[in-house]
Amino acid sequence: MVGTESPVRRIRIRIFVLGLLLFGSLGGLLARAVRLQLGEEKKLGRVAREQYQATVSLPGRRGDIRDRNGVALASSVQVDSIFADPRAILDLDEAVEGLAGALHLPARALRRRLAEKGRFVWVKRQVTAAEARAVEGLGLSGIGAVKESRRFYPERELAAQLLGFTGVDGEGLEGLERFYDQVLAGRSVLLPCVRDARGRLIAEETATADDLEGAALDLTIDRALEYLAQQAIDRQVAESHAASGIAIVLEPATGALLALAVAPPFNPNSVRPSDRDALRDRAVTDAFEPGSTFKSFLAAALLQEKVATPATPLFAENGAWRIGRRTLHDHEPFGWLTLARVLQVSSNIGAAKFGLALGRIRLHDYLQAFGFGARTGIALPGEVRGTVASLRSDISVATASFGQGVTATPLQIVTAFGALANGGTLMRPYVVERIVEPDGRSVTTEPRPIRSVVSRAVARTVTKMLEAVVEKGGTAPAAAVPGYLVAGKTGTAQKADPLTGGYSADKRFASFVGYLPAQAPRFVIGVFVDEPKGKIYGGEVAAPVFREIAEGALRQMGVPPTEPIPAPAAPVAAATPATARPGGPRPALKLAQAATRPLPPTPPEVRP
Amino acid sequence: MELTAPTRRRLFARFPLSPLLLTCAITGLGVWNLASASRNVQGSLWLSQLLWFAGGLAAVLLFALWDYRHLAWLAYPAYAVVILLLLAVAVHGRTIMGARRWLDVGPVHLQPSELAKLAVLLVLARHFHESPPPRRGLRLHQLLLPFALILLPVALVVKQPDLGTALIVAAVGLTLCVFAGIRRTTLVILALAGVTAAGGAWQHFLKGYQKRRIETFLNPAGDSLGAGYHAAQSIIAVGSGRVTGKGWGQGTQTQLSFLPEQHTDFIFSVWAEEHGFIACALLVLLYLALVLWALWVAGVARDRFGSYLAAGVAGLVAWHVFINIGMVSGLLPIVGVTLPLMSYGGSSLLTLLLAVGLVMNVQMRRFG
Repeated sequence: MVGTESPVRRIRIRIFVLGLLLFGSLGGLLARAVRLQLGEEKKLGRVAREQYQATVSLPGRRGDIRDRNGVALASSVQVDSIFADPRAILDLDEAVEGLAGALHLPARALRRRLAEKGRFVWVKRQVTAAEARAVEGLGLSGIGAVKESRRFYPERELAAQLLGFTGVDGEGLEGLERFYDQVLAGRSVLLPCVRDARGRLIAEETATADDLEGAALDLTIDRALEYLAQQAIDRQVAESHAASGIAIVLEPATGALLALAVAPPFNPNSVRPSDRDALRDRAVTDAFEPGSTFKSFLAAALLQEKVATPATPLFAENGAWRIGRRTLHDHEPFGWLTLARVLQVSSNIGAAKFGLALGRIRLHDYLQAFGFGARTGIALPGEVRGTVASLRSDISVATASFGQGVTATPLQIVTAFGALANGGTLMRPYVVERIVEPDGRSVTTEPRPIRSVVSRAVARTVTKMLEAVVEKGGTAPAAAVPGYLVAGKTGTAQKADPLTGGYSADKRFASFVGYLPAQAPRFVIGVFVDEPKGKIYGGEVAAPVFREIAEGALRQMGVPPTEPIPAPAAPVAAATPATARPGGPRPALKLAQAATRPLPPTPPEVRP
Repeated sequence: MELTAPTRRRLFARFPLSPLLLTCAITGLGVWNLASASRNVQGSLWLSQLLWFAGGLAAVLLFALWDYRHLAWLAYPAYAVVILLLLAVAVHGRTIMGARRWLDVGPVHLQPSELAKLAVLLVLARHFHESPPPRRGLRLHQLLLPFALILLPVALVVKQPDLGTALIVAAVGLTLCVFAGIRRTTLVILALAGVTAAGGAWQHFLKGYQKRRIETFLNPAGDSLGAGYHAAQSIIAVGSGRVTGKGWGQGTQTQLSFLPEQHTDFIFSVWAEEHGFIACALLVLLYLALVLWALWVAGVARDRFGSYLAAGVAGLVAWHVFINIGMVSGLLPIVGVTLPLMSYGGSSLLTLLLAVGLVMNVQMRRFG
């Protein structure tokens, strides 16, 4: 065509040039692919994984805590918690404004949290259903909700110190919640998730309920009785302006706790900083100088060791007895007293002399045998031992004989009385009847005798002597329950004053521990009031509470009266003759009617 | 040019089956890949793509019966029609995601900018066919008309804005000019002018987001969550595919929507992530085969018009592939360029099939 050069050759050259250009371009692509897919593939693969892999920790549903009849005392409900993925938030201002309004949060703190680096921050834990809906309605990117388990105590203050409570992450902080934290807590499951480009999480697998749920606790506690005990002790602590109070109901045959109430109460659903002193279960965490209730154990030891009989007399020095450099006093002067009378009128000097007669070693051994100075082994956190170790001098033996200079927890005292009540065997106290796994398997606590402390006959004789305490002439007629024989002992201990190192002039630890029906005791009930004002004696402060709880317990458990009801005072007596008709004494009928609902003679078995 | 029965039979004997199969292979892989890429999207894009492919194939086969030389006299009218269509888009085109690129023609949205690629190809082939370049190459004044023919549609497409397509149109046009041959002194002048023009374009014509993309390309670490996000995610996808890939439908970048525009412009990232280096190399080689075939046809064409057409198609496919893969693998800035035969989109697929059909046509008639 044009030119001298062959057009075919010219076009071939240009094709070659163009081909080289295009070939080079595509070759460049291959080189790039080699670099990315064979060179940086590890790094880029990791980057890819990091941006889509996520794990979400699903806390397990915490197991319920139920009373002996299956009523829930602590339960878990599913509530929403709001979280944010700060990197997925598109408009920080919009997010802060929306969330602050919907969740009632301060905007500045919220902004700081949402501006954090990282991929997960809590916005607000455990929100109400309305708040969760409001957040959902905002439709913000990077904001999500997860279901969390929140602990709920439907009976509020009831048995709060016993149950304890949980923190915001569901961890048990006090009481049974703490002791059985591992058992109750459902396993937290780390659920592998993938995250898409908008920050939405997609679970790859789902966890089954069994994986997550914790075991439930069935307690020996009876909700109705607990309520009664709580009411009674709360009222007394309020009336006597006491620092605190404890009421314990124990089944002597087994060691099972039927009620354990501590005053002042707190609401475990919303624990406030001001509740700090109310949180601990003083029945096990606090050791007190017990006072005269200890004379019961002294008497048991004297009888078992045949050092004395109930009729053994001694001289009570008319109210003041000098021993070493100290002088002991009785609350009123006594002359000659038998051992039985020492208990009935609660003579310190009498107890001291009998204690010295028993001797330092034997007194110490018996107190240890009754469980003092050692933990009872109940499944509650923070239990202390108390101390009976320092019985070195005569004076310490003398004071220990009436329960001063030694310390014991309220639960230790009640447990030891249980040994007197059941014929001489110390039982290990327990509060968890059964641990029920989510799959239905369960572990039941068997009653466990620790040791035989005194013989059946000695226990019986001590019980007889303790019956006199509640009778006219004893220190606690206020503890008497019509229709039943009550055995018990008052205690009014002086409290050590940490400032002077001596005993406080006005601070007392007043108590009454007793059991009934004395012939075949069903309940040991201990009532302890710390630092009451005004009335300070156990017979005045604690005994009436004992009676109130005892009457309720008898009614609740349907225990028939064992004694004829004494004729009531005149006008009432006229209206209600002792035996109105055949078929049983009328007051017994009254008792039955007083019960809120008819109950079978034995408590119903715990949950089918 | 009446075709007699024997000529027609001879024609079919010369029908280039291998390039057709090559095209079908790439498109088939594309449909398969699309089915994975669009799993999160409503409707079945792969099926729609398959229908477009069937239609396009039918058009190519029909087109094969018709001598490409008729196109020579159709070139200027076709060019004029495309310019008018581009003007129509500018006036009342359909706006999707801020860009005015589409024209509603009955049920389909037509993208005239796609047709502009073919129109420029045709008109330049015709031009160089009629006024053959001198032996030592084109001089500056001889390039004025070709450049004007290129710049008119490019300017209209840039205005839409569609930087990617404009780039392809310009690249195809320039490829043809280079193929025609340019004098060496002219080349130096052009290079200087090009740098100045690029500066001017930066100042006056590029939109903010277009500038940002280029800035991001030059310094990708500067903004990995904003404009650099797409590039970063695409590089992660390509690289994490490693040698053999994560498996069809298993690409985490793809399935979790980290990839932007994953069924159109970023379709190669999906392919790279799910099938790895070996499949990427295979795909690039398939494209290379297509390009080399077109170049071979340019060499054996019976006339200059056919030769320019084939060379232009080689450039069209090669630049598409280079710009697209270069962009998703971080070699080039992000501009909207589809991957030929792989990306979802009817106009794009149809354009490429017609281009391939054009080369087949030239090949079939190389002996007269």
